[in-house]
Amino acid sequence: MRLLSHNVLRNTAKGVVDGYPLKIEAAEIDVRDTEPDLTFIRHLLPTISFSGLRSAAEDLGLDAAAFPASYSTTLGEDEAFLRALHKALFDVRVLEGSLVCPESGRRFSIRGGIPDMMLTDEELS
Amino acid sequence: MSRPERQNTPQNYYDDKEARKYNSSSRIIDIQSEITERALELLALEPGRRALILDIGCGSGLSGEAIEEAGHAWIGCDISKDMLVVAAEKESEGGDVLQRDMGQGLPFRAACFDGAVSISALQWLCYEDSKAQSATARLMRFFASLYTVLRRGARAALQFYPENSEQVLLITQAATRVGFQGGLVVDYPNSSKAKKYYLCLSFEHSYRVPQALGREEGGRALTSVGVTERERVKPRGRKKGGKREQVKSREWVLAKKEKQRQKGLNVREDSKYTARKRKDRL
Repeated sequence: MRLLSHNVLRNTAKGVVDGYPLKIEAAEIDVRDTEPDLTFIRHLLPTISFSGLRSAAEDLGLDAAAFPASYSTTLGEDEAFLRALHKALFDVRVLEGSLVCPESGRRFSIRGGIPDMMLTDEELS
Repeated sequence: MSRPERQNTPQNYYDDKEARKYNSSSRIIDIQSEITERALELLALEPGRRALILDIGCGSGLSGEAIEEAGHAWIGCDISKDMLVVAAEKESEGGDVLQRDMGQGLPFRAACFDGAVSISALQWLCYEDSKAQSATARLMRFFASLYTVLRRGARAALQFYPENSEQVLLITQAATRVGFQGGLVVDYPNSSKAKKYYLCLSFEHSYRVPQALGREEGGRALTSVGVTERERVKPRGRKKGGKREQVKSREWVLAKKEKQRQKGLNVREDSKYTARKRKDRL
């Protein structure tokens, strides 16, 4: 699971309001460098939840302070920041561990890099 | 061939063996990437710009490969763990997968994706595999969540294999009930093999579905599938002049070729040699 996916994922079980951001309990992480596409990162900027990103960075022991608390239009001009953002969103992968819902405490396991987001029939609204 | 939807639930049908078989069949790979390319075309994304695409029912990541080839990043979800394991083994540069049953709704924040595609998956929602969940409830939950996770201005192109016209109706009605605009694009409607259904959805009120392929008088959007009237066969009688009409005249050959083109078959171009009589030999 990439942090980009973590950034958009939420728990939609019955009775949960936001279900966001999911806390990451990582047992195995892999970091692999890929070539950043800065135009694409700029395009993604307004969609990224920075609170979600900071929470993920904290959970993984990355530098959360490198990311602002919220979106502002000037962010797209800072190339070093865009590169750091690309690295966080695309290069860091959680291979083993779990995602924990901040509201209900429900755990979703991650095995082989694949989060299991399946709900039971009782959890459906 | 019987439909897999009739045999088992998707998570049981696509087990490890089926997933590897699926992913190594060159015929399936070709068909899947062709459909994905067409679905991306139907999304009408801003040209030259990388987009974040949601792939619903991504399976072993065949569609994901086509999405990447088109230059986009994607996040895929599928109900079958075994299919996803095959997808994850590919270690794609721009894609990521997670396990989720789309009938439970999509587990994403609002307005994240620039577009959504789905290849040969939607029809699974029409089959009730657990007593607790009706097909309608699952379809409604899916479309309602799709409506929220797409960015305003984004579109969805969902290709599926309906078993009958009731399924088409069930799916399109669920989509319109949650507020989507759009309809069906049926490519190559005259061919049983190349015929493909795409449900094209948008937020815009003025949205008109794109033209279908292999259709003569422009793409007419179908919201329900009707039966086309059979053309009456005209008796091949004598013409006024008393001369019998040639059995395989140039017009007949051209008409037949046109029909085959509509079915999406590979047909030679028309030339001056088309239907020309061969020299009489000894």
